[in-house]
Amino acid sequence: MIVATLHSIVQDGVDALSLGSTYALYALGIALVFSVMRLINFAHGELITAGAMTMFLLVGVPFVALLGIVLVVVVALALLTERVAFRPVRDASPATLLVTSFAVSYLLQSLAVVIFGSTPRTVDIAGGLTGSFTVGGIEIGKLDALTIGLTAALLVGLALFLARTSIGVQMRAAAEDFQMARLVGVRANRVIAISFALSGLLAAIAAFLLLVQTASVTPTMGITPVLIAFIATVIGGMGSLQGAVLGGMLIGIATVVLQVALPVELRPYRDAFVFAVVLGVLVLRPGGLIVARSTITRI
Amino acid sequence: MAQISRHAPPLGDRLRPLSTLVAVCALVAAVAIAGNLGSASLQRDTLTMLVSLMVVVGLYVFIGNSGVFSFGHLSFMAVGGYVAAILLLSPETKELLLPNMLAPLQSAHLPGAAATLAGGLAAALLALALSGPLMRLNGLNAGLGTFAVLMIINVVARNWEQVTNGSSGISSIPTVGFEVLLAAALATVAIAWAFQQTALCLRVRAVREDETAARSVGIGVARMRTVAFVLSAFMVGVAGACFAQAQGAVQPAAFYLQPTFLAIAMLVVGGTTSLSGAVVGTILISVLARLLGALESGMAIGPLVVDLPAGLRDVGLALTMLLILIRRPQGLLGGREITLLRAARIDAFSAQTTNQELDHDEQCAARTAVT
Repeated sequence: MIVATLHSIVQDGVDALSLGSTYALYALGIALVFSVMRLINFAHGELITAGAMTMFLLVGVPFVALLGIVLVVVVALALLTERVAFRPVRDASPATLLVTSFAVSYLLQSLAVVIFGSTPRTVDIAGGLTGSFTVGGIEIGKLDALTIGLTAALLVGLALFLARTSIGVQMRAAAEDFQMARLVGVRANRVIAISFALSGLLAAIAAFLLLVQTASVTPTMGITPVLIAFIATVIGGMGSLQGAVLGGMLIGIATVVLQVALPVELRPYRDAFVFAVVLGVLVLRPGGLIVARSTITRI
Repeated sequence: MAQISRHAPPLGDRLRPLSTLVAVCALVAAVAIAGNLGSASLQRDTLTMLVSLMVVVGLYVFIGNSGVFSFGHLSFMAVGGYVAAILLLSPETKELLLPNMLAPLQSAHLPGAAATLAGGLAAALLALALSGPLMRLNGLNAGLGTFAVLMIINVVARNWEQVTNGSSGISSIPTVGFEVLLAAALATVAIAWAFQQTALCLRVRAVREDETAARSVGIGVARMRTVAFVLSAFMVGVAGACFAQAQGAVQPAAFYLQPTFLAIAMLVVGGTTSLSGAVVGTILISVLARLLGALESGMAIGPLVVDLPAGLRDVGLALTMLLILIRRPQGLLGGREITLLRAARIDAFSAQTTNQELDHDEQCAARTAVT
């Protein structure tokens, strides 16, 4: 009995870890841009949509080429939104930036409807990723393993990039104090463009994982990921990359736990509880779990 | 913003704000009446515009005066809409259409005006309950907090079958005609205008301009904002009740992301900080939406039949909003009110405030640079 319980806990743990990894990927994309620019980029969801739609168009192209093209397209789109929409309003208040990102998100979503129509398209790029394998009695989906592994690799890569490369150090400096960083020679345009490019890279990978998982493309598919990312960054601490990863993981775990623990009649309201937690964090601990030094207001 | 003078201002200056009310109401009435003379579909769009106007003006009362963004106001519209819908349906109809409804709601029944006010009051009560946590938030956090409220209310509306009938919503609501909605819209504009003339609103605006300075002269920031928030929620709640009676139906999607975006777009395009801006923005976006919608469904311009793909209406609206945000972040009216009277003294004064505002912006920029 105990063994059976333990077994199911480990099984749920794998699910939670896989879900948490996906959410951490979404959240990192938002947090990277936020940390240097104080912009919650709701259009990040549409980057994911764009990635998925490119894959839909390119079905049949060899896998590596396909992934490469998708990366290029999504990163280019991220840079384009930065150049055309966000750069001109860079100095506006964070609330105005938020409104601008809503507008960009809505624009890209409507463009997707114009180009693709609003009916869901099915696309199967899963290939050999659908099955599962067993380790010590625990069944692990191949996709779960890939998600966890890919996220871990990306996190390590990102950490090395931020710690070891010159531009990475500049990004950290900009995240800590943008004005000061500019004064000592960090180029604002370059740092912001790189953060958008990296968020585009994360969006492209998220799009791939999401597409393998759901096998369907719609113009509104980016909304849920961006909402989750938004919750995760608020809870983890806006402006902090570690916070975003932690927040994503916590949301993943909370989702699995609430799904199991909430009474059946309350389960449909799960998301309402999650957003109530967001509201609570905003009021009681506005900096989130990991408070980024740059977000502390000084007078 | 305020000019404190020991002498009573000349009559022309005192009439100036009143002339704004007259001008804005005349504009609304003219556009609405012209629309109501058109085809059946134009008449429907005119009703939608009047409801949007009520929502945007209600939104303006909070966002415009307090300077704090709210993305959650459509949840007040939802509360107003659902409360009015439930109260307006007769008990027999509810038994037939909504057999699962909670018993006390099943028998509740009120006539049109009372149900509309009840919708507004329910929304105001919700705002009052939420103001404790929400009014402590500033800037970005306020935007995100109100957004979380929008999400919560939407989840509840989609799932609370015994009250809201889930995602299919409530239909067969008794409808009202053009005259009633026009009167309600004009009344909303008048309330927003009257609030603007009070000393209380001046304090709310003072907090918007400089919170630290406002605190230092003894203005209770959270309390002042709460008043504006509750009043604005009441107005948006009434707008929701009017929406229910204009459409004859309510469903969760009508109070979610897309309508929120549209309402914010209307406010931003006209300029968030003036009543005239809210009204002009609503009318412009409504007209633009109508035109683009017509192009989408195929319109003949001379020998040419333009038939644009679906979704293009929204592309046009989003582009317009982006263009305004980038090119004219203060909105088309830039915070000014439409007036019929022009007094030389006032012009000199407003020139002076513009300079002061510039100074203020520079100071802000300097402070940001320092921190």
